[in-house]
Amino acid sequence: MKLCISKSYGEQVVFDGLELEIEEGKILCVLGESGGGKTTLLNILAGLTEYDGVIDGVPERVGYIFQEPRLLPNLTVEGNLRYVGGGADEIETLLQKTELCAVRHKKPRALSGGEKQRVAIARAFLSGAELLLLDEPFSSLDTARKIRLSAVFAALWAAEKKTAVFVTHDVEEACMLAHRIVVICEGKIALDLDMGQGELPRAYGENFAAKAQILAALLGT
Amino acid sequence: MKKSVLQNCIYALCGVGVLIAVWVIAYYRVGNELVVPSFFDCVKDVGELLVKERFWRYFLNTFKRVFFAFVISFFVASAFALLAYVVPVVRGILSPIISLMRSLPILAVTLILWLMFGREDAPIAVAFLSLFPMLYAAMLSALSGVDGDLIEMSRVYNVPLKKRIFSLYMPAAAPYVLQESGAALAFSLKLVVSAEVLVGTYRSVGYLMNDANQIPDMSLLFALVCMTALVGLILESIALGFARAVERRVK
Repeated sequence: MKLCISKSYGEQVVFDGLELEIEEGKILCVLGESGGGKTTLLNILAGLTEYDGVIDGVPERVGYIFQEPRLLPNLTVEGNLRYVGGGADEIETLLQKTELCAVRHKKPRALSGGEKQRVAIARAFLSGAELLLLDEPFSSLDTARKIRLSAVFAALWAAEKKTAVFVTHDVEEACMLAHRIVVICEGKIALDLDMGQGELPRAYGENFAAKAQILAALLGT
Repeated sequence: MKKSVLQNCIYALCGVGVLIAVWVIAYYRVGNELVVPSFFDCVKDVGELLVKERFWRYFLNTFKRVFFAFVISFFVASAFALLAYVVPVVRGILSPIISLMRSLPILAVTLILWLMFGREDAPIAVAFLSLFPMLYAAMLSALSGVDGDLIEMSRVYNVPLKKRIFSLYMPAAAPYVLQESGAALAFSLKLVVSAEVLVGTYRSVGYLMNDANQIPDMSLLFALVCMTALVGLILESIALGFARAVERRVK
């Protein structure tokens, strides 16, 4: 998928002819400072925000893992998965893979933050999406939960190898889950880094060279 | 029984006690049965009303009007609120009309509606004129209060409209709408009875009140007013209890 887009909110320019290629079957991570347009980029790809420019190969169905789980409070875990579609077998498999079987009949208010986000991840994979969008889905979790959930996501992704765009401001998260990292500063690509093909998630705390490059791009040094 | 429930019951009983005390004091101070009737005569009249077949027949006629007015208002308000929610232009067009309906001097309008609809149906039209804007506003506000993030999520996942209505909109709006509907139902009773009194609808609670006024039988009139208030209170309480049960289930 190729895109060349511009977007502004009134006087404020978010992207001015941002060109980006998203490889199929890979996880692209977009890093950038807060307010730098990362969520806007995902909303454009999801068809939620209007833009100027062209996107080639826009998928019909997307799975979006939001920053907050966005679960229907009146439905159980299973009900929330059924809400976006998918057959009973598919739901059963995903419940097992995401270790949610024990809480399948519970409503969101009875779940922990990690469990809620696992439901949101399962929901994205259930929707038959061709493109997965992740908007800082682990940002509200502690490090241990973040690592566990990254592993859950990577396992689900490995089974289907869907194209994914993962937005975060956490360099560590990006290094764990991305095949390619793009740093956006002031609406332009400041760094485009290939992370290689290794198995995901990568070990927490490694990839010092990549992190140094990313930080330099983020700081503009 | 929970302590808070017991406490609320005690407070409610105290309130009723204060009201009766004020009534009894007023009765002795005024000393005129035609102005303030005896509380005990009034209780006796309520007892006599409850065993009279005629009262129940008339009450049923009034209640049919109340229910009919409420149902019409509820469905018309639902349709318009939904339309206004989906099409902002409709919301803008309806806004001044709703404001106008809210500011109508309802007793004066009753006389016009009497000429337009006749004695039997004028109370329904009167109730509709007041209930429609009330229910429309409640429903629109309930729909507008549905979590925008969940609406966005449903859009992204292309959730079918039917599923969105039954799983997202209805559960989110139901508790508030039910609560407002309870108040509207009780209000409908007040409006219908007032209109019946004013236009003199035959075989109705309003007719009985007019009758008692012309005799004049103040204690019967008080008994009828008390009965109407009591029925209104019961209707509102049932709806409120139902709304709370739905809210507990939803949340």
